[in-house]
Amino acid sequence: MLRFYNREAACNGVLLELEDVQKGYPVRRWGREVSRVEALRGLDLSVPEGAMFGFLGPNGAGKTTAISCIVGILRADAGAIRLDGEPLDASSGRAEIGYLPEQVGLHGHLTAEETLQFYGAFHGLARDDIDARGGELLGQLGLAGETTRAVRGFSLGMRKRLALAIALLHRPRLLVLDEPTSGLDPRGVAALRKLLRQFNSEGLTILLSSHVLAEVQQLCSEAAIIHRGRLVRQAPVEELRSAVANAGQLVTLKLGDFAPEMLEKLEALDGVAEVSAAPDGRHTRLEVQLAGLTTAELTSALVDAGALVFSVEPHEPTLEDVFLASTEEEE
Amino acid sequence: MNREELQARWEALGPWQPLAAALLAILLLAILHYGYWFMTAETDPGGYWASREIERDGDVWILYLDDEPGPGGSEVVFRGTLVTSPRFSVYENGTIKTGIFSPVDGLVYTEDLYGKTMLNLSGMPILIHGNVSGQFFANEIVTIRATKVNDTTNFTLNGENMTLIRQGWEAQPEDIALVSQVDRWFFGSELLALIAGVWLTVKRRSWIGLLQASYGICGMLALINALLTQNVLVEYLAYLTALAAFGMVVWLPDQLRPVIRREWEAALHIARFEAHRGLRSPRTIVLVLFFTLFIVGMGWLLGDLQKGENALLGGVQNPNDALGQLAWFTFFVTALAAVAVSLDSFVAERDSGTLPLLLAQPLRRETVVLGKALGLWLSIGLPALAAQLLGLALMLREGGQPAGAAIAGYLLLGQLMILTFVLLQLCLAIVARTGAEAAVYGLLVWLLVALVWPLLFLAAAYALGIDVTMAGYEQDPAYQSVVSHMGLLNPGYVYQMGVGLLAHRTFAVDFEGVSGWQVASALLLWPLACLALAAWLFRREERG
Repeated sequence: MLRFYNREAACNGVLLELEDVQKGYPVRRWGREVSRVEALRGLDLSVPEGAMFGFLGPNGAGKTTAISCIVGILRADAGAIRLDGEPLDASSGRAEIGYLPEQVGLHGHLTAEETLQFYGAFHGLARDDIDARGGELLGQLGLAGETTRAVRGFSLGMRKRLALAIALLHRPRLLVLDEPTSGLDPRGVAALRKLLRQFNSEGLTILLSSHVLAEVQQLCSEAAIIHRGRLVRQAPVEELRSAVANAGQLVTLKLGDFAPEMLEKLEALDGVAEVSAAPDGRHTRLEVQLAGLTTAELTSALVDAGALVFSVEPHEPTLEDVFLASTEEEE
Repeated sequence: MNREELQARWEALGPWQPLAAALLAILLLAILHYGYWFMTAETDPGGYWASREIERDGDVWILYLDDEPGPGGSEVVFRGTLVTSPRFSVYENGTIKTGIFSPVDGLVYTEDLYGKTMLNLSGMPILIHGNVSGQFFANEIVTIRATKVNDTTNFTLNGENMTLIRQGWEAQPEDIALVSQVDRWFFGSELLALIAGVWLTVKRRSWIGLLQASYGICGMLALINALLTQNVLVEYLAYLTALAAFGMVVWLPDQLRPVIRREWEAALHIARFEAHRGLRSPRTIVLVLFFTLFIVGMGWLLGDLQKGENALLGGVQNPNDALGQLAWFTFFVTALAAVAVSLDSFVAERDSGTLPLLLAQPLRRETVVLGKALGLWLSIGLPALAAQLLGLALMLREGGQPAGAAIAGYLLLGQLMILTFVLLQLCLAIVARTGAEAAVYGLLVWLLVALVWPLLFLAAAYALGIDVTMAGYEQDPAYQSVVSHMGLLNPGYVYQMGVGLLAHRTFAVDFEGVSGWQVASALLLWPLACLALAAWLFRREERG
């Protein structure tokens, strides 16, 4: 693996940087490697310091592999992973990362307090420090009354919160979350989002991998989309959304007196990419993908053509649109 | 070279002066040591024996030694190594055919020889008027104060009566002495000089790389010293010196110290966690009850079997023999417990999802393996130590007192054996993908080392042409050699051999075809190799 000190990255406000990271899984038969499944094919990523960073990708894109390489569960085959410009390894850097895995496994016979003592010691924290910081975190995470209870009696939500406390115990600079809300009930999701916003506002950089795009849209300031082990797009969330908006907005209209020949006229208009019409009771439901034409110009064109416009519903582009558009481009 | 030049060179050595002085002192002591033996003993008995001539004059043969052994006259001290074990060199009815001349032993076999021992001292036969089996061992360096004898005997050759007039060397059992009775003073002084030189140099160290190299050299010297000496105190002191010197090679780099300390503390933290969990688990409690009852019962039985009326029942000849057997029984059950407790160590953590969280901590993979191994070892080793002590106490109450070093070996090497099996099973647990797979691997390993191994001895011996159908084949030196060599490949047998060796005077003796240092190396290498393999297998998982 290429590893070299990159102070320049640190100076640019980048906390975590992945450069041309490659990772393949060997397929072995009788201990011999017969082939490889490439999960990361030269992944580049820059997570700015202090950001709440969304990490998106379809199933099998390589998100979990990338996260495993960042937190040290796996070793990248090639490329560089740097934290604050310095290469990450077991003895440096990784102590500044907190990690919440998707499937939280904790030792059931330990209490919450003992669990924190167990993991806190790996960061060289003194017993008293762990008690103090752990108590504070458990309080914030709503587990203050559960400190002496065995973890085996915890619900999934409680386990996730305890795992989050473990991840935050040593005051990391970067918190890596792999599908943090999966398996949580809506209240749990809302509480977790609130906490994440709070920690982020206190200066913690968060890398959030999620399938829930709305979650990333709500929480994150910047996002990266990966597909087939490569970075497809990385930009602030608003910028990603406006890129799609510029590419064309989708408008849904409810019309009366819509004649089929109007469809051809609409398609012939400059600035219209795609039009589809479907009956909607006594009305017609029209979906128009704009490509330069504004909603007002479209409405006026329809009125001029003799259609009765009952409603106009322009769609705000979501991150899902960006995601689909980006991954379709790659396809 | 004048005095000023010598002084300048000495000054140039700087912080290395104590080490250089120590090495010079060792050199002088070594010369003195050599000189002492040169002046007081014949140090090449094999060469002297090679000078023998046989003159044949009809039916009269005259065997005489051409050279004069020096120093001395008709009574000479010979210094050399026992090439074969005295155990296999005692003349008995059935082992020799009387009335024939043996050119190798230089005499005619007669019934008068029954009960006497023909020692092979570095290639020279010396007849001892007594049975010294069990008193001295192969590879031991001894002096024998022997007397030259001239005698005449008759023998038959191709049906003809012949007469042999021979010169030979003979001695009484009390004329044999371990060379270490003298050597210990020389070796001890050399070790002290070495320790002082290293210590004073450490105090003045300036350049770390060279210093480490010097520690390496010192370690090697101490190791050679340990292997050559035959005094148990000097030998162990030399082993400790070697260990300390090699430890310094690893320990010294300042930049490594905090890393090593941090990883070691993390390993101990994992070990405490594992031991705490292991000691409370129902699985461990059941295993402990099982092996404690077994070891205590066997200790009692082996003590009782040493009593005169029962001596033949279990083949227990003496307290050391009984301790060796207790070591085997201890291995038989504690190895199973060590395998069982570590059975699914990594598989269970993978299944429960605790492993990714542990691996995401700032730890090296080696630290995780070491911590787990230490913890699992403690959870079985501590109760096993209690069971060993109980079994030993009962054996001592009912029977005789084995050698102190053997008792220490039984307890401590037993712990090392348990650690080895824990590490061995950890390797398999890392490779296994499911709990059932890990359990099958563990059971197979235990079956192989504890039950199938003795059958492998027979198979290997048979394949090598040793007749294992004859009565008493177990006493055949060739069979013993097969058993010893194959034993090195089994940590349980290595443990038993280690205890057996410690029942002797020193590690330097030969253990039926296998040198003591090979057994000592196997004792150390087994756990180290298993640890290295487990760490490598676990690190390989980083590749996915």
